[in-house]
Amino acid sequence: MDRREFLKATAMAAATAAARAAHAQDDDAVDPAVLARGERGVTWDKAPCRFCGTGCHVQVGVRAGRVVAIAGDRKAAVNRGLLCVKGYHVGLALYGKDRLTTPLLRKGDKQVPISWTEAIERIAERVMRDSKGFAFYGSGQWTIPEGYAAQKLMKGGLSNNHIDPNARLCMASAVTGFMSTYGVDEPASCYDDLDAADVVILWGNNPAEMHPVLFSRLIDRRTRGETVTLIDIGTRRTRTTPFAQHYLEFKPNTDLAIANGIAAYLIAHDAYDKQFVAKHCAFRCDVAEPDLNGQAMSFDDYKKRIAKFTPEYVAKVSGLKAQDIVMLAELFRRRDVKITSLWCMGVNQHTRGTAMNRLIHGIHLLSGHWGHEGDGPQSLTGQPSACGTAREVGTLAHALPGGGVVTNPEHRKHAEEVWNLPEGRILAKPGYHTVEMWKRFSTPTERGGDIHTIWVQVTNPGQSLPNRPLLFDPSRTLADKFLIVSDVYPTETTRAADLVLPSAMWVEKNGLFGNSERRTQQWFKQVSPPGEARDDCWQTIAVARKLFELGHPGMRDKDGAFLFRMLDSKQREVPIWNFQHYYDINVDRELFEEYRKFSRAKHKDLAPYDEYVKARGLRWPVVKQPDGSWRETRYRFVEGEDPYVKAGAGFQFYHSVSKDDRAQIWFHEDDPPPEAPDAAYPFWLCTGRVLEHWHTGSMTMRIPQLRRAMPQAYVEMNRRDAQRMGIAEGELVTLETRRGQLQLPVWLDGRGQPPEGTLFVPFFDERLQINLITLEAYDPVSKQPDYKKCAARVRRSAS
Amino acid sequence: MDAHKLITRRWLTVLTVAATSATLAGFMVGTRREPEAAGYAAPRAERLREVAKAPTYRELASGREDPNRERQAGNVALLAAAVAGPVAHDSSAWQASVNSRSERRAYDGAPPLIPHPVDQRALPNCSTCHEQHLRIGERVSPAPSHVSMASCTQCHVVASSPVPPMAALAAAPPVDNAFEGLASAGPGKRAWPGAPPVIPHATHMRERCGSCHATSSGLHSSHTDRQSCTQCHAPSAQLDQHSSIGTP
Repeated sequence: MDRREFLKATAMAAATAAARAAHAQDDDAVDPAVLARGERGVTWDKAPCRFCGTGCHVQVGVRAGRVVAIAGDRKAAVNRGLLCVKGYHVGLALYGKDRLTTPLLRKGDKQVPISWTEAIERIAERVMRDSKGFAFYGSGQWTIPEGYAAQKLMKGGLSNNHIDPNARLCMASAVTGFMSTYGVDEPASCYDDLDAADVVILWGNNPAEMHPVLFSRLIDRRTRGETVTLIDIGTRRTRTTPFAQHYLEFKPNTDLAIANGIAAYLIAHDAYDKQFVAKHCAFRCDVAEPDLNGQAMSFDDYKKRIAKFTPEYVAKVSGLKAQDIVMLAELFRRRDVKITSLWCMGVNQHTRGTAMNRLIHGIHLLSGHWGHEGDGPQSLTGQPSACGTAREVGTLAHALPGGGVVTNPEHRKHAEEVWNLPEGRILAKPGYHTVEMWKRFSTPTERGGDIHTIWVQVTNPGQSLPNRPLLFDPSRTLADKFLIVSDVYPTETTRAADLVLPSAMWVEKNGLFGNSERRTQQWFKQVSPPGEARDDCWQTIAVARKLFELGHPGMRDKDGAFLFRMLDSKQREVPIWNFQHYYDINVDRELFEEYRKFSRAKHKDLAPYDEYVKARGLRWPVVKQPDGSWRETRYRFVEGEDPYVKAGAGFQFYHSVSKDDRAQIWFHEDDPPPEAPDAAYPFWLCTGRVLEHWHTGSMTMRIPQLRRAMPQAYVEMNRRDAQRMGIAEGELVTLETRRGQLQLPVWLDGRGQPPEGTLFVPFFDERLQINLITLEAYDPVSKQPDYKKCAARVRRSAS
Repeated sequence: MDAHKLITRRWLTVLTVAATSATLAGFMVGTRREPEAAGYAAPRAERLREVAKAPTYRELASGREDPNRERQAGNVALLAAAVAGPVAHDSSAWQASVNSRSERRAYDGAPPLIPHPVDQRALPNCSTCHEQHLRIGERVSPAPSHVSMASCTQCHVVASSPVPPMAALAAAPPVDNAFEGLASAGPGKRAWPGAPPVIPHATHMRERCGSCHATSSGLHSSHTDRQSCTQCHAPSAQLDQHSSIGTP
């Protein structure tokens, strides 16, 4: 460590100690020196884990300016001191040998280092030339302030709604499911359900690998003598399956029939919760062109249309036994068991994702298994701030912060007021959603490809977009298309980029995330980023400032002040666009306090920033109590839990689609998928994750312990299929779809076990990219693609 | 009479004399009215050296007079056979143990990797061997250092993968990582020579001391028959997040 680094580290430790001393709840007896030094020279501080949407808190051990250890945070309600193998190794994600440390500009075949000044100028020039064709592609890994700054720059500054996050590929159908059922997004329940449920139904869900800490929170109850019945409804045996009492294997895409079968049985046997339905529910179905809110339908009509989903019919369609449908329905009939449903990508990455989300909510509403601890539907997220940033800040092409939409004039007006913008600055027309944005970027300008520049932050679309040869690759051969990528490591996306910006990550910057149970979590910068790497939020603000200097009118509010004007305690403007001054004030705090003004509109109230400094996250709505304290909410729409429910109402869906405080029970047919196995492509192909790697592996593949345990992608197939085709364990096969082909080794009876006629490939490996051949078909309402189902065939490579 | 017994008897005599005089002195002192101590005075170093050290197995085996003494002697003989030598701290054995531990851990406190193949998809039946602390010959299946949890493979992954390797695969992305994990804490501090050392590491997820301190030769306790470790060895409130200090 040289002198400069040492000084930096010392200053950082002092700053952290001071910040902590200023905010600690019970710090009277704390000697700041002890605080900074800690035992063994290690300073510990809290941070939410960088990886999934569970939202575990870790304790980060820092010594001499570097992360040296990680511990589970015992004060965190989510994980209570436990982590998973990724969480325990999250600190290593900072120290891969090939971190990006300087801006790089493409010159011919090479990417050459340039200065930050030049990099920021390049982006500003592209925007100045034609701000309408500029798009921002972000992520559910954006911190809340990062997403908020990008949102404000685009919709408020550039009058441009072409901003969408990768959460479109992951959570969009959950959003539309919540919106159309309750009139407002995000789960009503919380993880407390896992401590209380008697029965947990997993809908195409593998939490043992994907949400391991939540799975342990559930399953460890058995070790303590409690009874938890697990029902795994899936298309493939996973690590979760052996823990389940029931494994119900269904044919891909028939989950809608199963949910309908449960509802039909409850109706046919007059076994639904009549009181709850009469008081709190309404019925709804699609219009000819499926949209978000459909149309009301009568109960009689619902009854008539659902009737065909008898156990026998569902059995025939789904491959389950009729008695399995009866078993599930009889559980929902019982009043004395608490049932929690869990789901994630199996339901969301589905061309019928919106419908399937609605149906799960529907059977819980219909049976009255709703709104009690342990009794209700709980959608899980895949990214650490898919909820906090993508959904709450609303970094989607149609959304505004706090649950607003650009199509609503009142919501636009409110945003313009908060941002102090002239009336009409925000456009009413939604921008391009993810698939559309990338399709237009990959289409020549003269043929309608009206997106010329995309700025990607905190995500890796070169690996995670479906059907990459259609959506991503063509743009790389078009001279007038310009790809800007902010990231921490070289990825499939940075390698294809025209401009690469090195970013700070996780505890190298301040941040706030929002997890799956509406929990907003804060952390402080604890170490310095390497080389010239800088905060994504700074990058956005620096571009905004450059545009301001170049005279872009959108960078000024109606009083002529800079869009991101921030004042110090003496009311002087801080030049935060200059990175040397970026940490002169807490920019996160400033942005969050402004963003908070949006949170009341849809009863998603956030507490002041300083409350989150003290807590291990708080679940919104967080409402101030008469004694000045801030109270979080466990269950929304439930009297006694949710402060916005009227006394005496019991339950109140106060954002109801039908404007009468009722939740919607939807009816959906079980339509066929866009592509199914046939004679030419006889296999179902499903893709997904594994325990050790997170998404495209850009962080976890650089962590030796995780890489050694899961070094590369593979294709899982059923042993009987392999025998029939003469394929041996470990043999290299060619996997083909209508989009292309990919060579992979076969792993039989490996991590999972797909049934005959089914294949599974994980998508983490950038060298063996399954998304070169997946299908880009998407849900008509949420626009979320289906990564779980397409038709494929397998060839022995040798033959 | 062999040399061992002779030495033991001699020591016993010394101990008996010492104990008797201590009791007598204590009684005499106790009967006197002492002025209240104005403050804590550091004990004199030479007196501290006389404080009884943790006894060796041999001492434990012969020093008991209760009805279970024969069984105890048998236990102690087994333990003594497993761990040669008395209390003395063997720094090379300690270092060897620490080194072998760090090979399987990214940092002190990280969940260790599994050094053998496991069934990748079955219900983990790790407890069959590990809960029993199964010992077959020299091979030990260490008991978990924490309370048993059901989903072992959530935190513990295999050190070498069973995924069929693909020869033609590029090496990128690089697996090199510059992370330097926190090393083992080293021996716990003692308030004075002979005092029981404090626990130098967090005890969260390491509540079952025997998992390491009864298996690994370099970290072996001299008195594994004693079960209530924190009776004498104090954990750290800071490391265990029992106070707000350093753990906001």
